[in-house]
Amino acid sequence: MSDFSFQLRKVSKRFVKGKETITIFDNLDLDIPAQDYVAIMGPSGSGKTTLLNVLGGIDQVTSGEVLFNGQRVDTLNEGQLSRWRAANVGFIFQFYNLMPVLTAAQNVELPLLLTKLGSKDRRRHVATALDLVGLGDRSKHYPREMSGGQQQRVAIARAIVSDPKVLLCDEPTGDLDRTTADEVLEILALLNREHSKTVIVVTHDPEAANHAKRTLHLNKGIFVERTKLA
Amino acid sequence: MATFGRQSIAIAGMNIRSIPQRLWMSLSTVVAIALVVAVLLSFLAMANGFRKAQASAGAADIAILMRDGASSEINSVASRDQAALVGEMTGVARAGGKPLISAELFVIVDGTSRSNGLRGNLPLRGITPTGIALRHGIRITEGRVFQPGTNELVVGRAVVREFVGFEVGKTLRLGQSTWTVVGVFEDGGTVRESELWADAGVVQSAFDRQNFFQTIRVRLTSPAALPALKAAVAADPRVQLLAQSEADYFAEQAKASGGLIQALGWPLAIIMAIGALAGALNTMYSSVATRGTEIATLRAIGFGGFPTFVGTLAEALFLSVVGGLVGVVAASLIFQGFSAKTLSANFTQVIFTFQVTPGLCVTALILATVVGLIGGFFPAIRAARLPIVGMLGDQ
Repeated sequence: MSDFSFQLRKVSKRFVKGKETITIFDNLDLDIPAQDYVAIMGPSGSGKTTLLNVLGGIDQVTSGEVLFNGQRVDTLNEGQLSRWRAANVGFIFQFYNLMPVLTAAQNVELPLLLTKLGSKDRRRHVATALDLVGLGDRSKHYPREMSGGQQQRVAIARAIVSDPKVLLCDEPTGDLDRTTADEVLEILALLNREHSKTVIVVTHDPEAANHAKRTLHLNKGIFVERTKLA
Repeated sequence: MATFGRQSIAIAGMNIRSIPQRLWMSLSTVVAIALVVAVLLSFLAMANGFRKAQASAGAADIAILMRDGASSEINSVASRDQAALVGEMTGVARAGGKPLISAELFVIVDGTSRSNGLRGNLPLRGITPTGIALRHGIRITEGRVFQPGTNELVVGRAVVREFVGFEVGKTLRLGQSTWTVVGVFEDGGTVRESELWADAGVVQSAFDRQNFFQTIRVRLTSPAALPALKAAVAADPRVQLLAQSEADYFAEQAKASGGLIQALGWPLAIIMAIGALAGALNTMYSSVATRGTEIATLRAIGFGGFPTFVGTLAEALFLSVVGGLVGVVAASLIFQGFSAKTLSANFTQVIFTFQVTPGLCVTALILATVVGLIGGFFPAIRAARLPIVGMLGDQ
């Protein structure tokens, strides 16, 4: 088995819009080792989110190879990708994307419905995940009854509850004030440090990037700078 | 497969719980489907009530004999001599050495409707005490039976309910004579309750029918004796009548008008259902659109396309079943026991009550479910095929 979570090999992504072909990125190579914490930065439209979607198997590449733990994922069909995402990837979104009609615990439980766990085990996992993000006492609260920071922590609990190897975070602090954003970033760092999660964060927030082990700057479809933080 | 079921149930549950977010649109679909169901059920209950009023009047052990070719009593004619010959035939039951036979007249008279004041045809039956005894289930609820040889009437309770001036003690002009109502009878809601009964001889005289009748009724020794009676009637060239069981006669009468009511009801309900279907499609497409981010999020987490399809279809089915139940309850409250009248094959008013039955409710609910299935199918396909990319950030 490879030591890499993700390997991109000559990956290109192009859109056809009318008669025009728009290249998002071209011949991109990238290695993300297991347990890495990577921040991907860049101006709007640079392809950060598209890259994250490609890594998460919710967008297809035009050419090239996407490997996860040495296995091609760009060749999987839709059903296989769904199962692969359920087993390996947790998503965290800028606007939390919680289900408004479900309580915190029910939201967190969603990925476990894709597993063979019984209801008792699912409840136990949900409680553990909510405790980990400090919301053990808010399990019965609905998203509308929680602050933005609390909702994002519920989203993190949902992302980690099925113990995926990778967390893909799209602007996880983009909708939060500084203090709350820092709390969320601390949780992500903790998950990387103590729970061995590979964390990939797309962000405009330099503070978010500071929490990462390294930062990749994407501009006009190529990585123009790679910074390894101390 | 277990996770497929969990996924489908979870998505269906979320969809249904989020209906209050689309309350008015969902409500309009429920109301539209409820109307379709109520209209269909009203027609089916009407046809059913009419059929029951007719069909339950007939007994298997009573034979009715009419002129060959007559489709109803009003078209038939029979003589006293024919009645005497039939009375001696095999299969006819006897009591005290006399055949249980009733030669009856059927005359159309006028009545004034309580509901709209219009004149309507009512059947006046000339009958004998034996004829009354031949009918199962007749019960005098008020007054008494007419005295033979007098201008007295006993009337069905539906006539009293729907027409003016037939209460006990009232006098009225029928033909050239004045008649007095002396009693009211009931017969379990059958078509007989739409009739007026008087002494056969007096009716013959009052309406100048000389020695003729319309029909002959006989009690059979058993329902199994009918073929023997038919054969005996056919073998005697002096009789020239056709025998059939009273049950078959009324069932045939019910088929024509009951079928017509249903034939009107179904197309109307289907046209309305198409309208409700348009509403359901609109509601469900709107539901999918407003839940685009939620659907995309679930798909990103790993939920499959097919559970998304099933979950969306379940929402449409839920709305249609709720609409169907509302329609069933409304139709039952409004129409169950509702009294109506229509023209029978005898050109007289048949008074009957709407009959909503569990079977009819199930039929109406099936129509509602079909509306829900079709109304949810295409939006569910859209939900299942919704692109994840592009929908995730739509807030």
